Order: sequence, then structure tokens, then C-alpha cells
Amino acid sequence: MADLAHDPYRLILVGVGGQGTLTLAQMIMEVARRSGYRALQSEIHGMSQRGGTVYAYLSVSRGAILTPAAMEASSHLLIALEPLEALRYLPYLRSDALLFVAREPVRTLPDYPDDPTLFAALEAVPGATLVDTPALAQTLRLKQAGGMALLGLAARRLPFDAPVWRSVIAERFGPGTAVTEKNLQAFAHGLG
Amino acid sequence: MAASKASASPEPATATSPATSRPLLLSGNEAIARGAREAGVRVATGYPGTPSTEILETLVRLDPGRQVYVEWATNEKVALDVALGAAMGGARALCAMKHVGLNVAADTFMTAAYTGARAGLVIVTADDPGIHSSQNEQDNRLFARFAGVPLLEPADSQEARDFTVEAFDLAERFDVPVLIRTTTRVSHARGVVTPGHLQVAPVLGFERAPGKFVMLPSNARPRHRALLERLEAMTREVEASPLNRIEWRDRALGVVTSGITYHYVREVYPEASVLKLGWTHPLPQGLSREFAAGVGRLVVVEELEPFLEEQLRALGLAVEGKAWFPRDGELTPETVRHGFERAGCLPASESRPLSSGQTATRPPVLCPGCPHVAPFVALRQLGAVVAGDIGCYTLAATEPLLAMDSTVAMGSSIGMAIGLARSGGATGPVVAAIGDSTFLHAGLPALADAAYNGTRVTVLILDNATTAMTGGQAHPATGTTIRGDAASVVDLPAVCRALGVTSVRVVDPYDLAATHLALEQAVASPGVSVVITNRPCVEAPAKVRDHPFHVIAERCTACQACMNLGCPSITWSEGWHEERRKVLIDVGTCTGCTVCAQVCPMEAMVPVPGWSPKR
Repeated sequence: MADLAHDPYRLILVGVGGQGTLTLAQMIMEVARRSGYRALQSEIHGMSQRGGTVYAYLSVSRGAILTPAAMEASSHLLIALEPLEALRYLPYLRSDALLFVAREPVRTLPDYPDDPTLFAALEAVPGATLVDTPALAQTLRLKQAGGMALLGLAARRLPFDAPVWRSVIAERFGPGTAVTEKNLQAFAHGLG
Repeated sequence: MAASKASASPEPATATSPATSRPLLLSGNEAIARGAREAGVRVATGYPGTPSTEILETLVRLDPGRQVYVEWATNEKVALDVALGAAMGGARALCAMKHVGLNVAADTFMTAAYTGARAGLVIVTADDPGIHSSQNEQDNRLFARFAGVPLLEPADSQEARDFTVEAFDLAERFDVPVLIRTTTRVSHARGVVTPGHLQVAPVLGFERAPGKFVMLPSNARPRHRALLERLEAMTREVEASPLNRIEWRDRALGVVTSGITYHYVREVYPEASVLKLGWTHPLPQGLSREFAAGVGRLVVVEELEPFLEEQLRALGLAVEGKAWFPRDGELTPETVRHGFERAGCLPASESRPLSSGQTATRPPVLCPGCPHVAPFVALRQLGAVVAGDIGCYTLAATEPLLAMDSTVAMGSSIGMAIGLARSGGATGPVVAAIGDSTFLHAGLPALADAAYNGTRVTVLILDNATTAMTGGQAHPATGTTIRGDAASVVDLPAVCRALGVTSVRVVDPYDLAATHLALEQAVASPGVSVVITNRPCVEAPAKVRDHPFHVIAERCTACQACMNLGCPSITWSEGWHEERRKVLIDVGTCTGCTVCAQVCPMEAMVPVPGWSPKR
């Protein structure tokens, strides 16, 4: 099995309340644990879950992990279920970080930037990949397909075997169900 | 990750659950629940509050065989009374709450330190430095000193499990309640935990001991002396506790720290020697002196109050702390690093983040279809002065509703409304806005006060049949228990009448006109009046998803009346009308509450044609 690109490998998952950010984080944690890695996750719930910013910060390591809190310029990979939230968390990323961002604005703010401004700002970030998640959701007829595809993209950079990912996803959504099948398809779409 | 050193629990007499030593992925809260089960907890109580809520929920999940009695109490004081009574009856008891909950329970807490119990009583306070979801960021470590009880501060999930097991043992050995203090970062961080065996401890049984439990002055005086003697004994015991340890490294700098801050210190200053404290009250004085004598410079890194710093200074030690580290807010690895930089311990760092300009903030909002929206629209139209309370509806204070003038503590809305009315200074009708769970928690005495003293206020009870803000917990008016069993239901209108309120109205908050009329009539009536809304929360316990609406773009004149509801399903469209953006409804999230259609003057909002409910 390949090893982590860095140890500890730090990930940030961001989104808006209700998008399933914490669900994705918990699946990564479970895959890491089953693959024999130590993993730590920090998250904030409560009032922020009411449509506000939601984030989970993950550390994966072969050895000890010290801090369950995001640090400036420290993360290697970002998964963003919402593009403005991706911009918000840029300060936590290393200059060589990879970003997987859903092209799916949640415009509940009066001063939300327009699409061209927003996407141009993200495309200017080295290492950023914008994913047309609404199209994928429509194709697969699955609301959370985008998130699963982003997870697949991230999985390419993590040293965990595909069968472990698939079994964790299946357990999450119910083994053998149609929903699981769609989630696996979306995940495979990202994994390539 | 810290080694588990504190798992020396007494072997309870009856072990009933299968052994497991497979590492588990647990949040700090889940680990506390796990530790309590391993210690043989028999009774567990609490009131929901971020970041503590998952402790009791996990206990229920861990215990399908129902060997533990778990309850959501009406408030934290009731929760602690129940737990104290259980411990008095000889059953190990756990009581969990958020930091401000301990203010409510403080009356019992302060005297429970005198009485002690028979079986172990462990109280968990989950503090919220940084105020992620609270009304203040008080440091409850001070409560341990105030009451004179032992204080344990786990730094991660493993310690949360280990310390909880240890806490029950300490509570019984010293006949005193033990306070475990976590913070949001510990409670909501998820890590690997090596568990022990689940146990059910024997019930020791009740024994009459009035000198210990009846706190008449003649009994309370010797019990206070007994508490001080127990503290003396603990002061000796804490010196050798494995919950505290010195990690010798470079001796130029010695850092004293506890809780999550330990991990931040290790992250940013791995070379420093550390006195890592897990049992922080009473403070291990000898160990602290030994550590201070072994290092060149002594620095305390702790969140919020200078709790350790002041005690170390009282020992005559030259110690630095809040001179370099902030006394407010949550510490982060960055603030800890900057503190060391200011203190001259570390060189100024050069971090090169992938930074951007400022990003528009995304404040929390009420959900699509939230039944709390329409009543506040009406209150604004009535020009009411609104004393608010603690819950999702506190968001009515923010844009765009802007319909709440105060929020202080659980249940405060009604008392403050009485005061506002009696002040003679209110600029409109005075209304208290309070949720169902909060009303039962602390609103009942205040409503009795309003009725008794005949104060002209209107109390709006936003009954959504759940404790919504914390994720939808049951309470005495929901008809279910924490385990989902059927329960008796408090009849809110009947309770209000029984307290002496003659004007009680129940209204559907999805009917804007009826809600407006009910509030208008209520504020016009003499004396105290009550208006109760009766729509359930759209998220819990069941998701409410009715026929969604969409916007007929040609009819929309971009008047923005619907935008003033703050519904997240209504967003700006790409279309324009006279240089204003038209609106769009996200059909995927619209719950079909119809409130926007009621405010739209153009009848542009209509049900989506051809929609049918799933299944």
C-alpha cells in the first residue's frame, strides 16, 4: 500500500449546514481507521448547523497526531461542497494544497459574489479543481452525488484501498440498496 | 496521543456485557458515555446543550438492553437533583450539561459538595470557549474551586474515557461529586479510543444518614468542615495521581497546561518541558514546585481564566501566563504560537498561507419552512419590544427579521419582559418570545410571576414540539422520552391557565394573518396574555416536506417582500425587474410552508405543478 504524501496528512472539509459535510468526514475517518491509520477529526456543530458554515478538520497519520484544530497554512487537501466556503478556508491551506470544489453556490447571502467572479477566484488558486456537481447530481438523480465524487477525487490522493472505501460507503447507506449503488457510482466517478 | 494511564477502576461485582478491546472511533462526548458505562453507571441525566448533548444520546445508543436509566430532565438543576438522589440511593450517577447549565444547577451543586453521596456522582460540564453556540464563555473550572470538588480536564477522547472511569472511583473514595470539564474541541473531536469492559455496578442501597443529607444549619456546619478535610486528603492524593505528569524535555522553558491546550503546546513547541495536568483541582502543589524548580522559565498556557496561573502564583512561583496568551476566546495552535512569540520563547513565524481577501460571512439562518418566522414578522409589524430567549428563534434577532431585543439566559425572556413593562420605558407592547423546551426549563416560574403580579405582557410560546437548536431532543411536552418511549404530554395551554393566565390563544404560525391577529389581540388585552404557536419543527423529530412552491418569473416584480422572511430556499434569480433582481425558490429545499406565497403581492409563488409526495 502506498503511504501518505505527508505525515500527518491534514484535510479540511467545508460546506453549508445540511450539505453532508460531516458525513463525508466521518467516512474518511472510518476508512482511515480500518486501514490501520490513526485519525483525528474536529468539527463544530450547534448553531452553525442552521445554514451557516460547517467544517470538519481531519488529520491522518501512521503515528501520533497532536492537534485536533485547523492551523493556518497547514492543510494538504480541501474538499468544498460550496465554492464560497472554499475561498473562506484558503488561509488554512499549504501553498501546494489540492482543492476539490463543488460548482454549486448556495446563495443565501445578500453580498454573494456572482458566478464569474467566484469561479475566476477559485480557478486562480493553484491546485484547485472545480467539479460540475449539479450536472452529476442530475445524471445520477442523487442530490449528494457531488460530494461523493469529490470524495472519490480525494481518495485518489489517500493511501486507502478502494474496497475499504466501497464497504464504508455501503455500510453508510445500507448494503445492497439502490441509494448505495448511486453513491458508489458517484464515488467511482471521482476516483476515476 | 496521550497514553491511557488512568484506567485503574474498581472491578464492579457484576460484569454483564461482552468484553471489547477493539479500538473505537469516538468523539470526546461519546468517550465520556463509554467511560461511564465502563464504570457501571446506573442513572444518567442531563438537559440538551451544545457541546454536551451527545453524551446522553450515546448512553442510550450504547445501552439497548436498558441497564442504565437515562433521562432528559426538565432543566439542569432537576437533572442534578435526580443524579444526586440516585447516588444517595447507592447507584452510580452521571449528570451532563453545557457550561451555563451548571449555573442553573449551581444551587444543588454547591451543597452536594457538602453532602457527598453514597455511590459515585460525576458531573460533566462542557464549556464553549469561543462561544460557538452559547451566550457566554464562562470558565467552569472556577466552579470546582467554588464548591470544593475535584476537577478533571481530559485533553482528548482517550482521556475523556479514562478520566470518566477514574472520576467515579474518586467520587466514591472521597465521598464528593467530581466535576469533569471538557470544551467544544474535546467534546467534538473524534479520535481512536482503546476501551475497556462495559459494566453494571451493583446498587449499594439507601441508608438513612440525616446528618449527611439533611442540610439543616446544625448538620451543614460539620459537613462544611468535613468537605475541607476531604479537600486536604485530596490535596495529598493528587500528588501521586497518574492523571498529572511531567514530561521533561528542554529545561529552559517549562509549560504548565491542561485540556486541549496541551496538544496545541506540543504541536507548536515540541521541545518544551510540560507539566500536563489532568486533575487540576485541588492542584498538585508538590509536583508543581518540582516542575518549577526544574525549568528556567515557567509559563502557563490555558484557555479563558488564569485558573492554574493564579494558583501557581499563590504558591510563590514566578509564573507567566495571561501576559502572553488571551483571556478571552478559544485558543488555537496559532494563538498559542503567537503567545510564545510575544513571550520571546519562539522566533516570529513565517507562515505563507494560500490566502485570499475577505469572504462574505455566512451567518446561521432559520431553516426553510421554519414555523418561527411568521410570528416575528407579526411582532415587527406590531412594533413590539421583544425579550427573547435561547433557541433557534434567537436568530430572529438577526437580518432580515430583526425582531428581538434581548437574549440573556434560559427563561429570561418572561422576567425581562415583566421588567420592561414595569419600567415604563418600553416603546411598544412588551412581548416575551420563548420556545417550548425553554419555557418548561425556566419559563414556568416567570409566567406565574407575571400572572400573580398582574403585569401586562404577552408571552409568545413558540411550540415546535422539540428541542430544536441542539438537534431535536424530546422534552416533557413532546410525548416521548430520550429512548423514544411514549410519555405523558404537558398541556401547555392548560398549564398557562393553571398559572393564572386567562387570555390564552393557540395559533397556526403558517397562517400569517391568523398569527398577526392573535398577537394583535393578545397585546391589546389587559394583564398577562399567552399566544402559543403549534407547528412542529421541520427537521425533527420528523422531516416536514410538503408540496413545494416555485416562482412564476413573469409575475415577480422584485419587490423583495419574500426576501424579508430570510428563508434559505428563496434566492436571487438571474432575472431583473427595474434594476432589481427577481427571486427564485429552490424547489429541492422548499418545504411548502406557504408563508412566502402569503406575503407576495403578485401571487408569483405557486405550488409546483405535478408534484407528488415520495412513497
